[in-house]
Amino acid sequence: MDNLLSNISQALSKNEEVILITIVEVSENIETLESFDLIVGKKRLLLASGITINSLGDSNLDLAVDREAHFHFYQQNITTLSLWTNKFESPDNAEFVENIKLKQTPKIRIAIEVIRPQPCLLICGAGHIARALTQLGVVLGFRAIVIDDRAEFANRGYFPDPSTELQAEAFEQAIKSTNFSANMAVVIVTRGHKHDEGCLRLLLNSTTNYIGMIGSRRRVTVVKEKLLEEGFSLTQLSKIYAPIGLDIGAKTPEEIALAILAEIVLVRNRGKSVVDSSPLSRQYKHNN
Amino acid sequence: MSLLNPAALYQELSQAKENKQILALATVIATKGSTPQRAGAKMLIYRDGKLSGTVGGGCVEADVVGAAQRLMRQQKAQLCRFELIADPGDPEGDVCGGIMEIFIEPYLPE
Repeated sequence: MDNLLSNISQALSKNEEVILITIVEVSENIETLESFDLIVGKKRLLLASGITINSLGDSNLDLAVDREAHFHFYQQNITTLSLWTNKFESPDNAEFVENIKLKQTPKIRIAIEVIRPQPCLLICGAGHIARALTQLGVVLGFRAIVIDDRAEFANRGYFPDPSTELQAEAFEQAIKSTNFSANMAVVIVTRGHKHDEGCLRLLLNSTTNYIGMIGSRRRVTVVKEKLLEEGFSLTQLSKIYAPIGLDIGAKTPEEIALAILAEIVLVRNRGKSVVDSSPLSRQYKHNN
Repeated sequence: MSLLNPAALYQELSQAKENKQILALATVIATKGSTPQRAGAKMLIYRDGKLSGTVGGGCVEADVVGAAQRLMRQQKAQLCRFELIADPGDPEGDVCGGIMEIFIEPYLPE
């Protein structure tokens, strides 16, 4: 078990997802159970690299569950799987998983859980909104990286939280040295539109799922149309969230940060407020 | 503890194991109907009563803590089912209306 926990910690610290598989329930009074070493609480771990750690107690069961679990990488939450124990002996074939998915009383239940690393906020620009974002972000469990070419803003005096990483260098340089992942949300709030647009161009090829950019509806429409003409794809543009944040009538930097983080959480958790997410105009339930 | 961040919870669990503390991990495995937390929510319950994270707060959490203390004594992992179907007028009951399945597993020093 120690081994398993340290493997989880290691993967998460490398910013990788892991899938944890646990036997959570074994029905009693099944004669076939005697031939299996099935114990409630037994775990198996799948790493993003494809490496597996530990066995659930039966190699056919491992195989079947692994196959099911691979569908869950990059997804949310926990899924449970109910299996007939007597089908573990079935030959290895593509229909195996389908065959053992249970339609009746479960004999054994397995939880498949995706464990995601700590989410990260990359904030371009070290102004008032950035500061409020780092403060609220900490409360919500985000790690923050703030970049700005002005060292007088990107400094510890203005961003006192010790977990916030500060990079006082040119935006282009800082963005190029960043390790992006699907676990990162990007917020573009620099001091001017020119810098905002420059950052956006550099970020559209990254693996992040959320790129929020500040600006009026009119202005961001112009920018998006320009990017389309330049040859960026609709898929790339669909990652842009601009105007940024949910419309909660935010006024102060803190309220704007709240609106932005609310949108990031919405996207990350696949909340139900999104109605239409066409790349050029995004609609939420509350603004029809 | 934030729900967004199971990473911190696993870090705490590893640390507690290293310090040879007795504790249990409760994970919401599945829910049906209205419940105060969804599948994936987690809480650590220490033998000495300390808690980290949440599986929904209030009455159901108190029940989970009780079950976790029992399972730590019995050294046994178990899937527990909580029905939150008390009368909405009951000031002490769980009234959300749903059912939660919570897996509780003790982590004991080897």
